[in-house]
Amino acid sequence: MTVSAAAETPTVDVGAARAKVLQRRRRRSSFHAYLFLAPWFLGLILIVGGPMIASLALSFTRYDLLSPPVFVGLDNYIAIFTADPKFVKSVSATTLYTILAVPGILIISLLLALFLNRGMRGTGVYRTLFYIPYLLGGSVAISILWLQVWGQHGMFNQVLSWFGVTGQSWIGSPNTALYTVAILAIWTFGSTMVIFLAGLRQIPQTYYEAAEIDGAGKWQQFWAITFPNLTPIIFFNGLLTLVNALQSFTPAYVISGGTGSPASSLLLYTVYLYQQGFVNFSMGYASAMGWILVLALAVVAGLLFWSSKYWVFYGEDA
Amino acid sequence: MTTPQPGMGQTVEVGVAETKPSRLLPRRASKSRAVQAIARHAVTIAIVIIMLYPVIWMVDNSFKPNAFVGRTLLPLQGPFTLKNYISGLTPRASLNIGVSFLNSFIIGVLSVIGNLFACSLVGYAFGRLEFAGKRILFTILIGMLLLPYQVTIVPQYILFHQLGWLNTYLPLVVPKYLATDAFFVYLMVQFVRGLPRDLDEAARIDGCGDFGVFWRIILPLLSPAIATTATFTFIHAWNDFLGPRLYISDMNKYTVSQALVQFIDSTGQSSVGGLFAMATLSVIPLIGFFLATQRWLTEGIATTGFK
Amino acid sequence: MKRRTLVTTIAFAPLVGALTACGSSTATNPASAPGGSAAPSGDISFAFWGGQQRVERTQAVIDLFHKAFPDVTVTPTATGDFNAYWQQSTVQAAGNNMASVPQMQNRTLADYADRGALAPLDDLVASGAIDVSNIPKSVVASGRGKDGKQYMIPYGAAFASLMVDTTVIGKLGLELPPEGYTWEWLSDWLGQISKKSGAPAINVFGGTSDELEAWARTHGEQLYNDDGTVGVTAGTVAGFWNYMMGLIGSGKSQSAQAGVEQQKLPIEQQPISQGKAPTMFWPANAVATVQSTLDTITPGHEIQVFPMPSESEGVPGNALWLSGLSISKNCNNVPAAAAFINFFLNDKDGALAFQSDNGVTTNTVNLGALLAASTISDAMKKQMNLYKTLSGMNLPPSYYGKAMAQVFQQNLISAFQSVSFAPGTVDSTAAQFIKDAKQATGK
Repeated sequence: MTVSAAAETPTVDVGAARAKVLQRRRRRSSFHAYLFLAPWFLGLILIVGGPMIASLALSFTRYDLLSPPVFVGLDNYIAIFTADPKFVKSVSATTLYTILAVPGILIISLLLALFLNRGMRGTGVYRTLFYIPYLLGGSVAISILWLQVWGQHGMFNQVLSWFGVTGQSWIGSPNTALYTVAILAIWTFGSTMVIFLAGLRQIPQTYYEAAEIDGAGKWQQFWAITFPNLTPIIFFNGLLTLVNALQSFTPAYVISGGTGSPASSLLLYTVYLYQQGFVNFSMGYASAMGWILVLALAVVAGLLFWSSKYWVFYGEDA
Repeated sequence: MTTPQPGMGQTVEVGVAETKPSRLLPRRASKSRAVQAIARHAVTIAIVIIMLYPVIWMVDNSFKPNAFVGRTLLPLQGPFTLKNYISGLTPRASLNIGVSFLNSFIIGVLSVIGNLFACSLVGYAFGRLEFAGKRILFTILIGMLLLPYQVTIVPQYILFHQLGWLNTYLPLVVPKYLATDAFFVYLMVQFVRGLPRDLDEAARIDGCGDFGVFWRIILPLLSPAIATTATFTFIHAWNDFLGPRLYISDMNKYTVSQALVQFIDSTGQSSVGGLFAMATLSVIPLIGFFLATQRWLTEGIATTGFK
Repeated sequence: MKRRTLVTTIAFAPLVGALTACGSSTATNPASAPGGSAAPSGDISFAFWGGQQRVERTQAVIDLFHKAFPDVTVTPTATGDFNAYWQQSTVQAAGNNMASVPQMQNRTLADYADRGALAPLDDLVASGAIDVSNIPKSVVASGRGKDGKQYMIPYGAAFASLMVDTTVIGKLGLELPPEGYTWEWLSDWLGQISKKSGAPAINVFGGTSDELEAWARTHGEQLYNDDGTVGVTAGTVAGFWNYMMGLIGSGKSQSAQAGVEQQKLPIEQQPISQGKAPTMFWPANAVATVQSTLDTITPGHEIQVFPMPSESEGVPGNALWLSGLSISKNCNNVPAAAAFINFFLNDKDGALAFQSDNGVTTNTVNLGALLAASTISDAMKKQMNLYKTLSGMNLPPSYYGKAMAQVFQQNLISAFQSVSFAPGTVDSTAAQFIKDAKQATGK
């Protein structure tokens, strides 16, 4: 630290010099940060930004994809909220699906990640085996596979029959079909589990060793070390699982053949959006639906972020 | 080091292994330890079998002639044939499944490199650096996660058409290098924020700049996140059917996901057995890739003293 | 602020440019050029739907075309998923990038032709560049758009049928459907079958437009009127649903839930192909597949195809679903595209190689050649003979307007399903369905 020759009292000079250094560092830091962000800026401008704005603009038009769009103001939005029973149906189906799928996925993933993190023999093999359903999750084959489990003559009913219970067609009945799709979402928990595992691996061993030396037991170690350090990942998985569930398209689409069958019970929000855009040639309407979803998700995400102040602990704050 | 806790009955490997994450727990008599281990394995195997039943059924039916697919619930019944695999892998006039595997692999690897490069840089910036406008930009990043892709498909298609990128892999791969996969950017952000700042500061005192900290400290510590990003990016790219469907029209550029769709034809003849065989084969490279990157995942943090 | 304006400009300029260019004719339409003296040359792309077998047979035709026209290269692009094909086509059309020769179908033609995505073919037909002399005039006429111009030339005719496992029916001691059988006769006959066999006789999904179309046509109506408006009434739809639910409720057909399950399965997995039910409504062009699947599982069963039921006049409710070839508006090599279409429609060796894989060939000369060929299976020939019978019956022409996929596939399915699980709502649901249909087609 250099001391200015024209200093009157040492303390003022040191303060001023330090302030100058910090200001320079902050500006340099901003500039450096922008360098790191350069790829993202490029992506925003060139690839993402344009289509995002275009889709927002399209939501105020009537656009059948093959003729130029026609401006209609808020008509789409009004129609969505006042004149569309299928919209209501899709919102309720998606909400129910989310309530079923998200906790299921998070709990199973976390439990199995903790279980597999113990280092028992064969962990790697088990981890891979648990991951396989995720690899198949979006495949065209799933529609037939899921029928084999949940259909009238499927495996689930076969197992029930061993207990003397006659089952119905779970996947063919409007009351129960959505549950089978939620179970499909939970079945493909593998990716969430792997992220939890990565998070568990990142917790420094030294913390556990220190706690052990202090005489802390397993439960104490979990709540004092594991859980707090895992909260960023729990938050990440929670947010993303929630967002994915509300946006869920492929499972319901593949299982219902894109129709939301039976009786629109599988007509999730984005499936209906897709129908409006690509089957009904109403891309303006579909875009409006898309942006309504963005708003809803923004509210949900905003609430989650606000709550994170209270329960998420970041290692950087350590 | 071994403090038996009454009533716990847990067992553990004694000693600190850098690569194994197991915690230190008291050791009990080896007989009940064996029983414990067997019980734990038995339960796990039972869960695995129940969970993998659909997969087992699919693999089993991939060895059946098409006419016999779907007639049994339990495996190893009925006629057996390798025809689905042989026929699927035989190069045909317009659609070569083997080539589609190669295509998917190329797209996958290019995507992985792109995502690792871009998302780690951007994730570090958001996770560690301070800069003007950080709040707004972060909101935009999260906003990218929230918009459903169905509404941007058509404008993006038109954009790529204007750029002349249609019928190439560019629309699928280039965005990865520009951090458009907000999911992985945010993943990196969260992992970076989970790291304590002590090492950063130590490095800075030693004279490292922002990039030095990134390259020498953060990146090595991020290996679980990197392994995760690599795995998922590859799998997403492999399984993605929407992007290739829109942007790839040359049949010898088709990806595995596009090739699989060719097995079910509602207007003609389908080959469900063939579909199952190819789906089984297509999962194998994914498992392989997963296993390969898992070694990074298990390395974990080998820091036992950094001051 | 500045950056956002820049972004907006970058984003919008090409978007607006692309969107408005769709309808306008920018270059002079090469289709009006006089019949080319120079041989066609260059590249064209051909988009169609179909699985592996379709792709192979199409490639065989393309190879023959390449031999005949060595200066032209045809690049095929196919997808096995019928619905995905239309999504692709729509997005491509939105980007002014449809294939040079996109395959079309008369049922969905209106959505593309009426919106200007396809090029009129009248001049090419008139000049003889595309020879349609061997295709029945009524068939060619169904490729016209609302404005009367020719947008598609049909090459393959598909149609609904009642497939019957005649061996099983014979074993039960029952007769086969006579000529001109009615819906009522069918219901009684199915009742006899299910009573004697103790199992459902047919598996109807109930919600498909195939059967509704036949029902409407035998009740004096059609799905669409000739001006593209909805032609079927709520009363007719309700009557149809009540009939279907009668079959389901009385056990002549399988349950509504089973119908939901089976609707997703390919024909090889349906009960009739697996020997589990002796009858089924399904397009006739699957008869070869059904027969070969049955031959593998339980040899010795013969499948026969019958027309759809008639009402009292004796004319069956069948309509022809015609797949054909078009030229997209953005095609920049019309002479080559026309040459390819002409070849596909008329070349005899091509027809023999294609084996009527996508509906019976509409070219009467080639149809004769196929019927005489030994490479065509007996089952296939049954379908072709049924086509000949139907074409000889002077079926009333069928019209299709816009939003076929939305109204008569997507909406119809969910409407019937909601009714089949809540039987008291037939009339109100039918009324709502027609109301929505009118709104969709009026756009």
